[in-house]
Amino acid sequence: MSAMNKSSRHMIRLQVNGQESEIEVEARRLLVDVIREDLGLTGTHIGCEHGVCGNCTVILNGEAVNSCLVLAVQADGAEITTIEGLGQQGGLHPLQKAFKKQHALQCGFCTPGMLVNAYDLLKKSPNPGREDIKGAIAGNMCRCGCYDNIVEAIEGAATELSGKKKPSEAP
Amino acid sequence: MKPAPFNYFAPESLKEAITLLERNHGTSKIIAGGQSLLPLMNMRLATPETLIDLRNIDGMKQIREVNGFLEIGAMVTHQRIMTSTLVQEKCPLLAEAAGHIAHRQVRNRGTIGGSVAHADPAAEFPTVVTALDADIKIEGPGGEHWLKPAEFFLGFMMTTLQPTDILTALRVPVSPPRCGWSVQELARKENFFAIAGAVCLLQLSQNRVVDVHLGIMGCSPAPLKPLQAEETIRGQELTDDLLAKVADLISEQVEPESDLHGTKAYRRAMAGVVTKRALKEAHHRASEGRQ
Repeated sequence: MSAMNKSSRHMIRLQVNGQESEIEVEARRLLVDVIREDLGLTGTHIGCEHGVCGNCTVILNGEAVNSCLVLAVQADGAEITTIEGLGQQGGLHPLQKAFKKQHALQCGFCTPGMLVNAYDLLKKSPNPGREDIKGAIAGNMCRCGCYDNIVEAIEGAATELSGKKKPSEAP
Repeated sequence: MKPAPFNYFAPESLKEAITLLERNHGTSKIIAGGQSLLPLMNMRLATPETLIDLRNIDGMKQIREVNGFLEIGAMVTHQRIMTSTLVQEKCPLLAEAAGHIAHRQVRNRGTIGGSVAHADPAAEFPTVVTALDADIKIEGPGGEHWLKPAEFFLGFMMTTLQPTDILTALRVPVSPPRCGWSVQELARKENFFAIAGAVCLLQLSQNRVVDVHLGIMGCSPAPLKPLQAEETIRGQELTDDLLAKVADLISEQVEPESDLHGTKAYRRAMAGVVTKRALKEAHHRASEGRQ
């Protein structure tokens, strides 16, 4: 590599949270950086930048992925859901409400990644067991160590979303 | 960190991809799912001048059964292999191994071709491919050819893949009926890279092991198929004595390195332990007649 090297530039189209954008990007730019810097959606956080912490989780064409391990140019034509697509102030998604209710966060840095991953999990598996939830969030690190409450919150949201009561609440 | 600058191409045919590799000989890299390459590029441990993406090329995303083999395109993701009913039925070892790879975010993007070409000796697919003596399809300027794992894996992240070659598919033998299988890994955290791991496919007939395939991960420069241990087991009943003997053989044969996660001696001992666990579980499943 020489300092003279330049990345090729590409026009890409992204549909993020239902909104179409056309952006020119350098090939070397990561999807997470384009989401944050070009689209201004800073809810998606950057942690490790090598696919270990899960903070940058977004849904790309229906699959949860680490957006630090996708080049923006690779996402050309894709449909993306970020944390901003889940819910807003005053209209929180049941998962967000459950996180609030269960105190499933302290500093909140990992929360967007946790929520987006959990959102994708519940889409595919509406009634996951505790072990399934734990396995599903194994790629999301919470350095405050709120895992127990996070698992509880996801379980609670699953119960609410699927319209089923927990066994203890069943008549 | 962020990747160093590079030129990016997403050709629509394999021929075009090979031409790009020839034109950028030795300075280009193929990107499939990017789950191993992009971390290396983000950390600038890899700084290719040209990146050639396989995502727009048709014909590398199928899983099909052909004459006693599963032919799996290089661009099939770990998640698809894990959840494919065809793979679960025809080669349960491969489906189970896929479930041990990293986390769902990574499995959703990482591909079998990328994993095998990356040749990390602690990775699941290179180990299963080695254990089952699967065939690896290579396409380059001179056409296509198939390689056996022993002809492909050279050492730590080193293969015989040439700078103008692309790994396009794998052919994994369909497991015989009434087989047992197991994937055993020792790791600090769920689905992290194994400090030591073993995969096993085993066939029983009247309580005797008629055939066995083993693969050891994370304990040698390349995935290890312990032929001598396999030979020792074939035709025998899987007694505690035999398990102990096999564990010793494995511990002798592996060539581990020491690192933050384990010393050479620890890995050597654990390679034997995970092999025993894998043999026991595979035996249990085979005797239950699960397939």
